[in-house]
Amino acid sequence: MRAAFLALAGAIVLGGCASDKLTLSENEEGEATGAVAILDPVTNAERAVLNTKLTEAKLTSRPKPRAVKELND
Amino acid sequence: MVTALAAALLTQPAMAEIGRIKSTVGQVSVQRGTTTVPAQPGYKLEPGDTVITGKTGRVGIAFLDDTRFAIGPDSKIKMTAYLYDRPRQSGTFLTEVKRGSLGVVSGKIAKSGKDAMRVKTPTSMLGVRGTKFVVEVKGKGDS
Repeated sequence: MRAAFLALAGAIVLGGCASDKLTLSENEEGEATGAVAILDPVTNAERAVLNTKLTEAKLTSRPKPRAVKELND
Repeated sequence: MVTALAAALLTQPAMAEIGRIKSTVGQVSVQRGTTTVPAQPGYKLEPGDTVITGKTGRVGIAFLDDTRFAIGPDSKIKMTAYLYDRPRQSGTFLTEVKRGSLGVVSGKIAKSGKDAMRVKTPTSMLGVRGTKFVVEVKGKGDS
């Protein structure tokens, strides 16, 4: 658990972005284990779904998921 | 759905502990109602609590369902609603990222139902379906 905290904390400290964004990470085995859906806050309609490890999307009305080389990219 | 919610309410008294702060670095405080207190490892969090970090603050939190949060500097994160039925390993969890960075390793609630765990940002709602991710919210918003 401590290792997971440290990994996430490191990613946060090193992270930097020009706008709100979501980044899907990977688990300790290097695999994506689930997904995060970006929903319209009013209608709950899906704007995008991130289900591939090391992808990110800006939290806009039309998010476009894209691959990143590493979590703190 | 109603039955599950009722069961969760019955098994979890109002304002019960939902998780504990595991680690802190720098300035970290918890706002509960109109009171704000410094947070230390072991501090028990309740539904509705808001965790606030300073410019160099960081905090790790472990919740009852094994969800883990890593909150970065200059952040304001509210645990708006948390209901966990331990015997059924199900529930609902709503978190609001008002500003800053939130790293999440989801736990049993996120696996218990589609979008049972949600993270709200100023512009979006995220439905968590069992995974590990980071949300970053710029600006000074606190509403």
